[in-house]
Amino acid sequence: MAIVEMKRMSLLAPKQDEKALLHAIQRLRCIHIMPADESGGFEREAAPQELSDLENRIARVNWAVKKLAKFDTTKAPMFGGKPSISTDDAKQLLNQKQSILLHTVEVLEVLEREQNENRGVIARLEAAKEQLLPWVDFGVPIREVKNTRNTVASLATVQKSKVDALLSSGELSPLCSIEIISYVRDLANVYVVMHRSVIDEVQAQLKEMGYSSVTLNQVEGTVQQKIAELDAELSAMALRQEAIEKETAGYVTDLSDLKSLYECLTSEREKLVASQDFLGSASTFYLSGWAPAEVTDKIEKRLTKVSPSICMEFVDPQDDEEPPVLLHNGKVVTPYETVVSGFSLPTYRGLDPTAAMTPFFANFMGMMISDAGYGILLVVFVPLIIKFMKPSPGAKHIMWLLFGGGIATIIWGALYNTWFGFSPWPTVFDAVGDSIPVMAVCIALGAVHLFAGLGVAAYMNIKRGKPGSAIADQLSWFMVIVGLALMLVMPEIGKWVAIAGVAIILVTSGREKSNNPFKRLISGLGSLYGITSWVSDLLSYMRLFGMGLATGVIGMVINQLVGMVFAGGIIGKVLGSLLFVGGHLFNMGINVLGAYVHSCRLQYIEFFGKFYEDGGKPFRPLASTNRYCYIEDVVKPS
Amino acid sequence: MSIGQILALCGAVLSVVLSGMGSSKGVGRAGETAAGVSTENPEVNSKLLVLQLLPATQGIYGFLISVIVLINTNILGGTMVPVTMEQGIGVIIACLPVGIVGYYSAIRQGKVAEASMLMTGQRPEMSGKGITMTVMVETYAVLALLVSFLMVNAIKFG
Repeated sequence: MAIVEMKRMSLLAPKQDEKALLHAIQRLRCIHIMPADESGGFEREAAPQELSDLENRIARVNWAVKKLAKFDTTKAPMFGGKPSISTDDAKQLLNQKQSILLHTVEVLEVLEREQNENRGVIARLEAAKEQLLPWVDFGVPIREVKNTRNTVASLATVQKSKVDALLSSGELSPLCSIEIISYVRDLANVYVVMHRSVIDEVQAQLKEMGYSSVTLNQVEGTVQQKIAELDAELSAMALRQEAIEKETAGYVTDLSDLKSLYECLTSEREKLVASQDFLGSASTFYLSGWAPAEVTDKIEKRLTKVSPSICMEFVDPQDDEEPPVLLHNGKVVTPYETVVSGFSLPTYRGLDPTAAMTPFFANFMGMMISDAGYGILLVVFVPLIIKFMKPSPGAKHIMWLLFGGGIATIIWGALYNTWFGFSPWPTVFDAVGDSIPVMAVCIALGAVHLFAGLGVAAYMNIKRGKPGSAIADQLSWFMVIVGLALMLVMPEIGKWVAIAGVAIILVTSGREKSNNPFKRLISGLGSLYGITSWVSDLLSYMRLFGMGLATGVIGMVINQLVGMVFAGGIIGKVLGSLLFVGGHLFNMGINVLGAYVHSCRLQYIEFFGKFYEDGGKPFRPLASTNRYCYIEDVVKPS
Repeated sequence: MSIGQILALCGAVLSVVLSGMGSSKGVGRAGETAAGVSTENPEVNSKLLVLQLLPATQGIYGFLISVIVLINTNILGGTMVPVTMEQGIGVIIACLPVGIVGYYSAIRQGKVAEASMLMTGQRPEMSGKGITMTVMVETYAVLALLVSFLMVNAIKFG
């Protein structure tokens, strides 16, 4: 029920068994491999060559999976679980199907390449067509546009306004013809034919108009014929692209196998990467890592079966070693580990705060969701979702968190007397009408929460043989706060308790800094300033009231709106019902999210602030990956 | 409709409009960032959605105070109670904390949410800390809400 005790594991084994041992370790999922220290004639094993080859294959398979995923028509459910394959299937995939699947990948790659090349060709054809389009009405075959003994002919663009003006003014020599083929914006595409005798005169005029000659030398016949040719090519290309797309889509049947293959390959990679942490000699290899103390027997048995001649040792961690942290709690508390790891794991020699946090987390969530109706929905539907949608382990934990919050919500919702925004019975806690007592309860619960944190800190101090610190740093503050609170009911006793607490703080808080009593007193005064943080911490629990109030009032407003709509006959009743369901689902959604987030915050900032020593490295055993599917054959540690 | 009643309505408008503006801006900007980060790293999208929604609460707080004003003046009941000018001014003042702090904190919270999203995109395991940092800002909106609530509830009409 806390941080799992770890043993340092060392293993020496014959090199020929390395593959089999790695496989067994990966199946065991309970050994966190560390880089082994270089010593005693061993050398670090060189990076296996297979690794880069493997990375390459993984990248290709991943590319194929992403490519085919676009054609996957089977809808994945939003919270749906991932499929799993057995270890035998995995072996078969790697050994037999791999080459076939890699061939598929290759085919896909060829198709992709062709598709890309075709895209370039299409772009070129379209550009050519674009250039020809203004000349489509020019009926003369382009080859015939040429100079003769007496005439000069050319295709050109000129400025539209000027050429129009010239043609209408009649200043053009009768020995020259300018035919306007088309206009493109402020330019005109023209066909110019002139007699050689007027060449100088006309050329001066043309120059004035911004003459720029156009060559269409790739065209054999008329422009229209050429465009028809281009169109034919383009549509052939489009057909080919479509065919490629269809052919690619045809391979979608291999998608699930490819995903599984990806999983197998990445799992293989995990092993190869882990093996880089080993040391090796000519015929042996040496592995160093961490394993939970409880499962060392199991590990020994299992690995000895794989390779009878191995030598293994499990020792307690040295003081200067920082073992990885694995939390282990009872079934009820386990989901709340995600809250802790979302912040930061405790240090190995610290304390797992999960169990202490659990009741507070659930109750705070309940107070902030605060509508018993929503609590009932959570309690009923969350287990159904878990049962039928098979969420991933992480999502499952979050859902059980919501379930726990749901139970607390029913209790607090009943106290607040809010059921889907209605208040059917006389109310115990009336947040809107008589809010001061409810706020008082929130602050009081906050104080209990903070005191629990102090208690944990005191416990850690006592466990480490420093009971004095527990009195000086924790009991003193407890006395100050309780004393101040008591002053409201029993002024005399409260006053003296608080003064005693203050005295302890004044005298003790500088004890490690100086022996000079004067300096210690000043340091004590500084510590007393910490009372402001207590005030802000306690006030922070007002959010319990604020969030609860928000849920209740919004629920009430929804019901009032529904009441108005409901009065409007049959249609009103239908619309009203929809509004009721939709409105309350929205209110529930936004408040569950808010309650979760704020409940986390109260743990992280207020509660953890009192005692938490974080910074542990997570326990990451060598295991198979599970991006697309699980490779089954689970031997769960502990 | 008396001046007092109009002032009371102004108070309700201020609280819901100011905080709503802040939340729209905060959620909107956060949404833009979420979309950007998702294109780089689609797998963290659900974590980003949580972050995006955090600056939305200020708008809800403003709405809540607004509704309480409407309830206390019995507008929701159909006939508005008589409100003196002093009471009307009182309602406006009572609505200011949630309106102003709601406006400002929602925008600030949106900015922290954006920064946290960028962090989550790079290091998904840090999303819990990002959410915590973002929620820190909200404390002041909650405090403003409480003050507004206590003040609005202290004004007795009729």
